[in-house]
Amino acid sequence: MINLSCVREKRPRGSRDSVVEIDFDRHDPLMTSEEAQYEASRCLGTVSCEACDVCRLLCPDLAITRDSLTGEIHIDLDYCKGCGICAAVCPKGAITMVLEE
Amino acid sequence: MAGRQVTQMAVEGRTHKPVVDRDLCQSCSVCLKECPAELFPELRSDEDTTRGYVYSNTDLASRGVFPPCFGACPLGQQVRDYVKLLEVGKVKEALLVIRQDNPLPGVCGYVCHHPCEQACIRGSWDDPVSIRELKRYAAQYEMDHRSVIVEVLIQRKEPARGKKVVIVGAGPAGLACGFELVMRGYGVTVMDALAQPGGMLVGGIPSFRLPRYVVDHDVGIIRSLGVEFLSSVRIGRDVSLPEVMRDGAEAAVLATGAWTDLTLDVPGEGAKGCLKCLDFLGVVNTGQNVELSGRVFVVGGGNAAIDTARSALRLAAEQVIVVYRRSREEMPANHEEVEAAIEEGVEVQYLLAPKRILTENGRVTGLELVRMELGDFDETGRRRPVPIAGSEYIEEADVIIPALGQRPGVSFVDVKAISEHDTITRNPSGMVPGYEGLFAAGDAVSGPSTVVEAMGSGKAVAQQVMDYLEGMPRR
Ligand SMILES: Cc1cc2nc3c(=O)[nH]c(=O)nc-3n(C[C@H](O)[C@H](O)[C@H](O)COP(=O)(O)OP(=O)(O)OC[C@H]3O[C@@H](n4cnc5c(N)ncnc54)[C@H](O)[C@@H]3O)c2cc1C
Ligand code: SF4
Ligand code: SF4
Ligand code: SF4
Ligand code: SF4
Repeated sequence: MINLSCVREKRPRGSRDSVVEIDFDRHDPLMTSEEAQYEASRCLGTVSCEACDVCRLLCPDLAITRDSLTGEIHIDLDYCKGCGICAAVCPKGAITMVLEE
Repeated sequence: MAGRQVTQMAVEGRTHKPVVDRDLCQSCSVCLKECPAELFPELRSDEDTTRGYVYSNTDLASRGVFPPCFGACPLGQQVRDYVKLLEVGKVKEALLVIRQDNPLPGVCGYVCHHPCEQACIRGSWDDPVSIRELKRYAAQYEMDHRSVIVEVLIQRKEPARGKKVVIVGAGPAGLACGFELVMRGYGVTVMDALAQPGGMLVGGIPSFRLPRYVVDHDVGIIRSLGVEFLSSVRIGRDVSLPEVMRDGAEAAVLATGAWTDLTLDVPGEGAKGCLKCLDFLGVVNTGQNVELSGRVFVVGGGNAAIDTARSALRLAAEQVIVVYRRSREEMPANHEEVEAAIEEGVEVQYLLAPKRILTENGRVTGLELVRMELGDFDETGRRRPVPIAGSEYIEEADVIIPALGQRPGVSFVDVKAISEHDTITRNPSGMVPGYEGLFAAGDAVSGPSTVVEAMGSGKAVAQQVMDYLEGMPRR
């Protein structure tokens, strides 16, 4: 097993002046929500959120509409040809292609 | 550029052509992903269309992956998406994006070596986005709202398939593999030799870098999803490998990491006061009361060396000196860890190698060092350190801890399945040669790597296990 014969019983902290005391488990504090939002705003990417419209704008058959009251995205399956573009572009991965019954 | 010429060529029947405004493009890649030739790669091989011509003249490999943060993350985290959700204060949504690809968000928020930040485009302007710290911030939300996350993950779980997989090793690779498989509907048992799950996260990396409640939380979520953990069971001692595989499981995964310390191979290494790095960190990590005395020398330049030095300093050693045989640039340890160590009072000396350990009555009393200079490039692309003849000198030392790296040191699989680098080998389907249904992942296969690389390996192997169990065509 481990050869720790040089390791002695623990002495009370601060018994040796020459040593800088470091709290064993010191951690930097977490970001505040303001700091996190500022840091995130430095990312050069575009905003991707729910109802981002990307799928609607790219649908070749204009089958995707947005409800003007709720802002929700609707897909009109009477017009959809099942190309899968909307599912591929959705930055949130919110659209999946499921097999037709 | 061949590609550019083609875009200027008018295609018969086309009335409009797409033109990119470089000032407006934010490299979101939406257009790229939507191009039919990206969606259906077969279309690229068309011989007589513009599309076929463009693709045969484009170097797809050098085009890189956008955004680069995503391309650099071994887990394929959708960094831009979660960062942009955090910008608008949608912490829960950001976390769910992180959760899609990362089963240990808290752990990664603390100790990931963040290649994403090295790749971040913002870095060429001022500083890269602090992607890892933002992940740490988002993971805190998860710890404060545990039940919300568990509920969403349980919804994402696929129905049970009635098949069982045993994983040996509860480090990042085993945990990621277990998470993936349980989410796909398999029964999963993870065995580990240590008293609690986490692997190097609890047995190697000290708690001042990774608080234990973070590991416990991430592991706890995996447990809540149905993964069963068996602790303090060592394969090869408490139970044999064939027994594990016979135990009602359809497949098994070895994710046993790299736990055998490399030795210095200099005279005097067996003396009292010369410790093994992982033994030392193990004692520190299990909270046993230890105090080092006098001058401590740590030999090495990786994360383990820096963690050992910082732990030794916290245990109130008088002086802690890290000696590394190359220069600062070649040092494999994370830059910020080295900075933090130096700030706390660790001394780091470069271009030095130990030659002999001086002993008296079987105890360490000193260390003979030789100065090094950098010579030609070696096969790793780094300059090889060469000793300078006659530059030897002696330092007084009370404790010496070599932290030169580890190797897997696996003794319970057939030697035919062990490579010359002492790692476990795999055939292209991910299986260990000579064992039906036995897979391997993580540091046990790659040699010492990093938390996210081991996790990425665990995820990839989960897919291979699934291919095997579902009888899908194997590559
Ligand atoms: C001191 C130190 C600091 C590090 N710091 C960082 C860092 O800051 N960032 C980073 O990305 N990486 C870091 N690493 C590397 C990282 O920890 C490893 O690459 C990673 O943990 C490997 O994961 P793994 O799952 O393959 O193996 P491990 O984490 O090693 O887990 C393997 C598990 O298998 C168990 N096991 C082994 N043999 C048996 C057996 N026979 N029977 C049962 N169980 C067994 C072990 O007990 C262990 O729990 C550090 C490594 C060390 C040593
Ligand atoms: S990468 Fe994104 S921003 Fe740039 S042109 Fe394409 S869709 Fe527009
Ligand atoms: S072929 Fe591709 S690049 Fe050309 S217009 Fe269509 S989607 Fe855009
Ligand atoms: S897991 Fe690591 S590499 Fe991937 S995005 Fe997070 S910090 Fe970056
Ligand atoms: S700015 Fe950085 S973090 Fe944001 S998308 Fe680009 S590479 Fe990723």
